[in-house]
Amino acid sequence: MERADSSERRDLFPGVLEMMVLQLLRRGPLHGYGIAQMIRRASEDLLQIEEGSLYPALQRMLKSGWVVAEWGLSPRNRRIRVYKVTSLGRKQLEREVSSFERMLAGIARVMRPAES
Amino acid sequence: MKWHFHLGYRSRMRGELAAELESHIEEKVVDLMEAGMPERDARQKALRDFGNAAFYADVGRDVWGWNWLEILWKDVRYALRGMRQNPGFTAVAVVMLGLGIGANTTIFSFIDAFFLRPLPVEDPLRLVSVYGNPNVYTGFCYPEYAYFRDHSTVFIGLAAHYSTAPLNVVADGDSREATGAVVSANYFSVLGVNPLLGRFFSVEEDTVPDHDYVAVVSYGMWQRRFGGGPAILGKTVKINGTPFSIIGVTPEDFHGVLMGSPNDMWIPTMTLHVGWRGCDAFQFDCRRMDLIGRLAPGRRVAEAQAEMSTLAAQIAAANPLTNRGRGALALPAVGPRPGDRKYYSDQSRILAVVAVMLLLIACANVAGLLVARSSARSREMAVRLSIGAGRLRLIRQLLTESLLLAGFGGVLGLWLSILAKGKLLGFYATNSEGYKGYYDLSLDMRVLAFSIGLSLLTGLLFGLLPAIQSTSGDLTSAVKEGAMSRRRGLLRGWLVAGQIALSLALMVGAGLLMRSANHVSHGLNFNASHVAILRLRPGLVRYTPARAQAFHEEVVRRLEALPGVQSVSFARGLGLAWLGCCQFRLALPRQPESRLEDAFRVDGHSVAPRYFETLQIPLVAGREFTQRDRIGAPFVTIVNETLARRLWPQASAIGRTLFLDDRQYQVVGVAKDARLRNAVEGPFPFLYIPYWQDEPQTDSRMCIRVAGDPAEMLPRIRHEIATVDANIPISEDMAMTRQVEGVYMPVRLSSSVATCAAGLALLLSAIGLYGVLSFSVNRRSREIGIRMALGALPASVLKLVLTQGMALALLGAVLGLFLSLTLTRLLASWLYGVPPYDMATYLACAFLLTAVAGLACYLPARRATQIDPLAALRHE
Repeated sequence: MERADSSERRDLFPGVLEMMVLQLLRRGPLHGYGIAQMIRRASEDLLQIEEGSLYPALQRMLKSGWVVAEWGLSPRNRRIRVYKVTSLGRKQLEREVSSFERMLAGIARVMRPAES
Repeated sequence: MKWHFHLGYRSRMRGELAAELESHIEEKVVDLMEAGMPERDARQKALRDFGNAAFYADVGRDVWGWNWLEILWKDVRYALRGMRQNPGFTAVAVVMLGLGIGANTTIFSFIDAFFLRPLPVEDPLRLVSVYGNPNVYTGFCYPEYAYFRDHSTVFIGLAAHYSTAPLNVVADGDSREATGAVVSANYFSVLGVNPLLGRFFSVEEDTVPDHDYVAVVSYGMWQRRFGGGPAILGKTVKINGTPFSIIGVTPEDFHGVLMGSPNDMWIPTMTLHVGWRGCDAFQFDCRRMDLIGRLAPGRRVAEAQAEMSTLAAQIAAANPLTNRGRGALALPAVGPRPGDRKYYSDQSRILAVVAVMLLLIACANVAGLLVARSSARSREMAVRLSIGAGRLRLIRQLLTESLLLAGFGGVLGLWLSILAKGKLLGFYATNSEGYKGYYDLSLDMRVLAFSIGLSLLTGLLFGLLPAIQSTSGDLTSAVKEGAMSRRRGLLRGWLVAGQIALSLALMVGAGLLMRSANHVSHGLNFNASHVAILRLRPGLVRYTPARAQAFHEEVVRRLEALPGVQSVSFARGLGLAWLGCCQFRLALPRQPESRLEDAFRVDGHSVAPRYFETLQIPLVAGREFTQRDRIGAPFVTIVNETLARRLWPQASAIGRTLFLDDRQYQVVGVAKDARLRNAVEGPFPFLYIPYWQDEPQTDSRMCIRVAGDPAEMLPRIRHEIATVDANIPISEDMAMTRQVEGVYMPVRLSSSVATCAAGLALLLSAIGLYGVLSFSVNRRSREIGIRMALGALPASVLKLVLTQGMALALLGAVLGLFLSLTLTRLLASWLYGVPPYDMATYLACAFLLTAVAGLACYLPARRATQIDPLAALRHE
């Protein structure tokens, strides 16, 4: 029951969350909470993403080798896991971005006649 | 181990993920509090924003896969905990399964040893045996072998061998028998066996007939007979009177190529005249040799068969007189000779049926226990189902428990089978001729795989039904206590009835076999106890028939004078003392030649005076042979009752005339049917002729009736014979009862096994019946309490429970009778003196079963009468 609820509130398109995370990580290493904060701030609360959904995505990316993680200490002296993008992850990001742009363009074309 | 590594890795991963999620939430709480939110609100918001942490941890973990392994591990731990909590149930189930699996593993070990185990030689799967075809009992003569060997392309090498046991081996003045084989020079190299000591035959030593007398001995004989020293090489021994030089010793694990008949000694084919003298294997009409060849690289058995057939046809074309229609049969060199296969497969089959029945009973019993246990756990199951546990997940967990039980049962079974193998092997240790059998029953991969596979199958067999049933059904009523047990009761009832049916079938089978074995050991119209037998073969040391006759007369005279000896007789060689030697074409006088159907072949035996007295075969009429029934006197015969009835249904047979192989005989006696015939064969026409009127003989089988223990008399008997001529080979000397036991070994074996199995089956099904009734009494204690509160007398309560139990028992018994009628037909060829539909056995078994079932029902029934109505009603 819980499962059904939660999965409805996952990211909009499959892979989009990963793409955003990769994009954020390209600017520098971040830990999970940091990533969540950045997404919230950058999207100006437009994206209603449960922060928890970030973690399965991070696990998937770890498994795919797009990111690596290591434990470190936060400025508040808390044990945190910091993620870094790998070269594989960068390539993946490029692929994702271009395919995402193609998808956006496609959607835009479909939507245009409906507007007129 | 890899999976173990993964388990550790996975649990570390999970720990990290959990720490990460927790740290995320804590950080957010701190952030929010710094922004001025009270801690409680901050925590609530952090949790809300995060979503279901447990779910995300789950999904995150799932990313890494290997989940089933973790579930399995959890299931195993859960199951082990359950087993520890119910040690009684666990012990009973494991012991039952262990018995079932152990019985099957034991039987499979034998099937493996008989049929599947390759020879202990180099690359045994490339070896092919070649036998005569269509008559697989005859092999090939030497010229045929030489033709095959010189013209085949499919083999790297083709060797000839035949067992010429026994050889009379005299070494250092000590004369003893050895089981020997005549083999071609390339025998050892084709097999890829290397000498432990010395060397094997060279080609030159197997080229000129009767020239190179060299022999190879087995490791066992070297140790037993020659003390295991290096002085064995070059030693001279006399084999059947001919001096041989020993040139080599085989490795310890090599016993020759005939499954079950180990060889002690090997001599080259060119010396075959030393061995068996029934005929001359250098001639075309004496086919004694089997062939064994090693396939050339890339060639297959089918190609060997094709080539051997072609070559056999070429031989037949060149020798139409002797070889018309004779072919060759090429088979992988594993298992018994084709002619012996039925002997082994019949035994294996009956034992396998018994073992499988025992396993089924054990499975039904454990399944019954599981159903009862799952009733006790039905609320747990229902609760777990209703809070959302997957049904498959529960079934998987229940099956894990069953498989674990079966696994423990399998381990116990494997251990039991090691014990049982030794017991069963005792039956095979010596054959009817007193020769040692050899079967390699050491645990191998096939047996191990079988017992593991069987354990898994067993776990599924007894676990699946209860698992499916206990996870199905109406949840709401199950959560309420006490309901949902009707269908379970029904299932348990059928399981118990099935067990009883199988047990009855086993008991009937065992009963019939016991009676049969009893008939065998007491003999039917002959008495084997207090009889010593032995085989005399003056022919091996080149006695003429005249000299042999004088020898026999002197032996009989001396033995009859020996204190403790009651009577002495003997019969023609080959065949067992009370079986026939030969077949005759029988015809009645004054019949026109055209009525050929009146002439038929009849088995007979050639016996010396006092034979009937010695074996205590009753004569119905007339007299036994005397010293006067010799060449020159009128030819006389004794017929058995079956033959007498067949030839002269209305009148007495005494004084009648008949023709045996065109010679006129007069019937002087009628004997009881003295041959042990099984239920398939039935009584058989048979007759006897006097040894002294038979064609000239040299060899004989003696039978000596003694007052005491025949085995104790044998040394004195041997000594007495040796004083007449010490060179005469004496063999197969033993108590006649031992010979009978050897011949009817399959009966005794299957009787003992079936009796053990039937006893266990009876016990198991009694436990099953007791269990189902106890359970039912517990379940109905409230109902029974109410009945008693309302005035039911203990007697009527007793009747209530007994009726329920005995109905199951009777249902099982009826099913069992039908099952028995079907299954005992399989036994017919082991049943001596008892038909497969022997009413007395059926009734006795049914009675015994009912009595035991009654006892199993009475105990719970009596407990039901002791239910305290108040206590029962207060329950809940």
